[in-house]
Amino acid sequence: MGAGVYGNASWYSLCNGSNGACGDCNNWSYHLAWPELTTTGCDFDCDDVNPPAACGSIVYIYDYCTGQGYWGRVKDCLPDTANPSNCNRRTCCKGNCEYSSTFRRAIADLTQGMWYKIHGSFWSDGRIKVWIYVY
Amino acid sequence: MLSRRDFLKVLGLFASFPLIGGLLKKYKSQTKITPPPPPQKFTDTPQDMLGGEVIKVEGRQIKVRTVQGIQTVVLASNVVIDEGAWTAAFPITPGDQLFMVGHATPQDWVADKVWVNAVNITGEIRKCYLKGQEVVCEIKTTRPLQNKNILQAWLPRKFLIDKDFNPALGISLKLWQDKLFTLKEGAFVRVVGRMYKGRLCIINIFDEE
Repeated sequence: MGAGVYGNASWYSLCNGSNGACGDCNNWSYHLAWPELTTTGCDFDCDDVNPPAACGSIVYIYDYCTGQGYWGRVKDCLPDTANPSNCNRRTCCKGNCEYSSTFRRAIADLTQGMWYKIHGSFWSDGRIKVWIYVY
Repeated sequence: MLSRRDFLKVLGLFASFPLIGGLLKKYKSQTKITPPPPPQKFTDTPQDMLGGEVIKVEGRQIKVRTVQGIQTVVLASNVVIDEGAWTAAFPITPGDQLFMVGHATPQDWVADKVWVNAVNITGEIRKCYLKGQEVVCEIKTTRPLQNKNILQAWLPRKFLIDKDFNPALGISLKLWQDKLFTLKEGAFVRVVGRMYKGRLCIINIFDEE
C-alpha cells in the first residue's frame, strides 16, 4: 500500500547518467529527486511529509496545471529544505503565480525529461502544484 | 472542551448537511486524484528523448555524447530551439549540454525540439545595471553553478519597459510570453534560462518569496 503527498515541484538539469544520490540519474529520463531517500538515509523533507522511498522506487506525479500525470523513478535526493523557506513557496500555472497552503512545500525536483512529460514548457512556470503517489 | 472523538462526531454531523457536505465534496473532487495502477512494464528512459554533450557540429548534424555512446543527431527542418525564446539565435557549439525531443529513424535520431544548457536557479538579486545594449544582474545563487556563487545574468535591453533605469525602484521587464516582471535588488527569485559563454541568459523570472 502506497502513500500520496501534495506539494510543489521544480526541475533541474544536473543529472548526467552517472551521478545523483543513486548514481544513475538521467536528465533525459523520467527521473526525479526525492528528499527522503531511504537508500542513502537523506532526510530533507518539509514537516516530514514525504513518504520514504528508496532508489529506483516508482512514483506517480500529477501536474495540477496541465492535468497530466505520469510515472517516474526516484534517483536523487533533493530539494534541500535545510533552507526553511523552501517549505513555503509559491507555484505557477501558465505564468500565473499564487500561494497555496496545500501546495506550499517543495516535495520533489524533476529532471527535464520528467518535467517535459507532465508539463511541457520549461520557461512558463518555475514551480508547479503536484500530487505524488509513492507505490 | 470537546474531546477528539466528540469533535469528529460533530464534524461528521456537519458534513451530512447538504450544503456543507456539498462543499466538502467539491473540495475533495478538486484535490483528490486517484492514481492509476502502476504499469506492468515501466520504461523510465523514453525513446523520444535524448540528452548529452555536444562533441561536433556539422551543419544540421550534431554528434552528441550520451550515456549509451556517441549518437548522431539531425536537426529537423522545422526544429524548435529553446522553445523559440530569444536565446534560440545563439549557435550550438561543442561542450553544450542538450536536452532533445524527437524520434529515431533507421539512419539517425531526428531532433524536433532542442533545449541548450537549460538551467533553473534560485538566488538573491545583488545588483542590476545597464551595460551597452544589455540589462545585467548579479545573482547570489543558493547553490554554486559552474563553481561560482555569484552568477551574471542578462538579457537584451529591448526587454526593458521603463527607459528610465532606476534599480532602487525596480526594473520592469517584459519576459517570456510578454509576462511583466519587476526586478528589485535584494529580492529572492527563480530564474530559468540558458547558459551561454559562462553567463545566464534570462528567459523568465519568478518570485520565490
